[in-house]
Amino acid sequence: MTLEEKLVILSDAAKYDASCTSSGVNRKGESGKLGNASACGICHSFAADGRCISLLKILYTNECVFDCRYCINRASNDIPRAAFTPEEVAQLTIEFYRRNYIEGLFLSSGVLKNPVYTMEQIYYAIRLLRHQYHFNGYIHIKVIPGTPQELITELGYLADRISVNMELPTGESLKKLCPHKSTASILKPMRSIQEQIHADRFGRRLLAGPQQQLADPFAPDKLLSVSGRKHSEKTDRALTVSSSRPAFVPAGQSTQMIIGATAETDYQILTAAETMYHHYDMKRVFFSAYIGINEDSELPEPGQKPPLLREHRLYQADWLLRFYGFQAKELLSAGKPNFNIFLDPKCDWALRNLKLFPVEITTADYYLLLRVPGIGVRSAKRIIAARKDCHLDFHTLKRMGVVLKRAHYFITCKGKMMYPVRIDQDSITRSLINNEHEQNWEIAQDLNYQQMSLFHDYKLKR
Amino acid sequence: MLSSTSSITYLCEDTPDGLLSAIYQANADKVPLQEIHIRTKNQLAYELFVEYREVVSDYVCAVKVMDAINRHISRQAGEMVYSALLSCAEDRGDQVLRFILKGFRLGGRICDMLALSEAADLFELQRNVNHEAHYFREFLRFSQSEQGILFAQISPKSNVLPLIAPYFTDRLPSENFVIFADSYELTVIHPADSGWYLAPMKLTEFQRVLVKSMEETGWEACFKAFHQSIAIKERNNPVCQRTHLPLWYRKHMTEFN
Repeated sequence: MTLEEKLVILSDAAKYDASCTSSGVNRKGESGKLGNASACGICHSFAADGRCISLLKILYTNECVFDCRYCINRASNDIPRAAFTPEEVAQLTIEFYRRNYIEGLFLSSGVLKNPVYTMEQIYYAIRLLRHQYHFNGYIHIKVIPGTPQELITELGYLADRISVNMELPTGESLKKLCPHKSTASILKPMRSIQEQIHADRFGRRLLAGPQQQLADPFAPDKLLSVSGRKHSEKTDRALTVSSSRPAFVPAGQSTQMIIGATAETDYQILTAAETMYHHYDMKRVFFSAYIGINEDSELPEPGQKPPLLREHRLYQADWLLRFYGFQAKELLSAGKPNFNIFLDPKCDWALRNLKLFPVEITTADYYLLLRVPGIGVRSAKRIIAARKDCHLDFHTLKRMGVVLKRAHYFITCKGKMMYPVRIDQDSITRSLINNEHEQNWEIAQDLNYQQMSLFHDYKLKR
Repeated sequence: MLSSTSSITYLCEDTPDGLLSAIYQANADKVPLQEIHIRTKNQLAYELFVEYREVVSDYVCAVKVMDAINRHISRQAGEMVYSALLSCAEDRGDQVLRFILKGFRLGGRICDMLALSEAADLFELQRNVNHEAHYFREFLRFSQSEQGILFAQISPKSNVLPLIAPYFTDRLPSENFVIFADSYELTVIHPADSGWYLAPMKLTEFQRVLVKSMEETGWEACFKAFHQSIAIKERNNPVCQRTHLPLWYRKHMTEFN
């Protein structure tokens, strides 16, 4: 089998992994080595499905002894199988990286023989890449439940990010669909990674000595304390590391779960994600719309459309949790467990809390500005900076990047609204839905323009 | 268009140095601001009733202007001005001049005062340039020559080379690489383990000197195959793909050729 054939099989098998970010760590380049890393993350291409290609996302092997019901690589499926060697993984990464095709490597794997054996192979590949090939770019490793602690520690000092998939939002679903995995076997490595990250950061701070921290008015930990979240350690800010003193998992850990394979509500999913952020210090929780590939009595039938709009709403809510100081219980509740399909979660929240609006742009504080639909983190910061020294008006707000088509219902500028709007839930809802209707429909219908055809569309026979 | 008042247009070279020299000259001549235009020679359409003054690029004057901005406004303003000068907007010289003069009166806080048209215009100009530079950090593709030199061709609208060169130097410190911007006939040349410099180069020259090696097609085929197989068929969404990766950037990208 040629390298290209292997690559096709093993990237095709890896494509269902949602995560492809290269963010969270700054590392300068070094003479004699190849690569650097930047905290903002860099996408290098976009595939035909519109998802970014940042990392070389491959499985080490797609052979698997596990038999998770939803997975294309499960033991009971009859598909072409392949496995890389450590040398091949390293060579592919280096040659792709030099040509600026990718930002690094995302190595996951099926379970070959047993978790320990597989993770050892991955460890050899990564060690080869870091020490022999002097690769200084981004590496993301997926850990298989059942990997021994010592191996995770070794890997953690070589990789930038480590993730353990939680697979499904609740323990019951996991038991039903993944016979070889359990909640305990997934949470244990997550916890151990979290603890080691804390220990590592604590040690780094001790070594660095007492430092004068610059007061950052928009510090994320300050933001989160507003919503009542107790933030134990300052792990939110991107770490700047050098390869002479490696850090343990400098870009933090992430996880992902499948949406729509089981019967959980959006509220359960979002609460699960929130727990991951609060109790496991996750950098990201990814949602992956379920795509029916396997025929199985426990799963939705294959061939159904993946729930893309639902996934989109969950990501919108995820952003609100991470950057806007929202809590899951503000956005959804047991009585209203699913997102509005017509409105994004922030508009939906604002309409249920009209008593807080309109917000006066010239006086409102940062945290209140963030709650206005149509104002994001960047535009809120620009507003704060600009209003110190000059007068704002609606035209200026538009130039700063505020989306007035949503924001104008909720703000006043120097006491005046942009248009005369009745602060009334029904009328604002109606106007907002008219705005967004087309876009939502496109996401839900997975719409791409095509030529109408009488024969094809109406199933007429020629 | 006929201008009713007599106006003066300074003609300069299409480089940051040229534009800064023109700004220096315009300021030294003490002409009222409304009557000044700064244009580069290659983008000019001549008008009637306009006095044209040609400016010779002068490195010393350019450095003086940048120094004055860094000292009397702020370093951030200096960075914004430099990016803005790399833009392809015809009136970038005028906008920078208006920004600088206002900035000398207001100081560093002008960078945040986006309600002022001077600041907002310059902010937009430099944001566009920086966005474009970021796109090329992502979408530039190297090929390897027989001698092991990495080379890339791009067709940027703005002159992004000075902005992306430090990035690739940090990323590939021990590689020899060449980035050629065909729209500016300019290259960045980086010899392994040393600094980078800019040099003019013609397309024919670039194509003659740097030829893909034999093994190159193998890696290109691998990446094309990867690009295909990583996409999920059921989620096919070319509109979303075009939003993130506009067709215009795909001209020299391996996976779309």
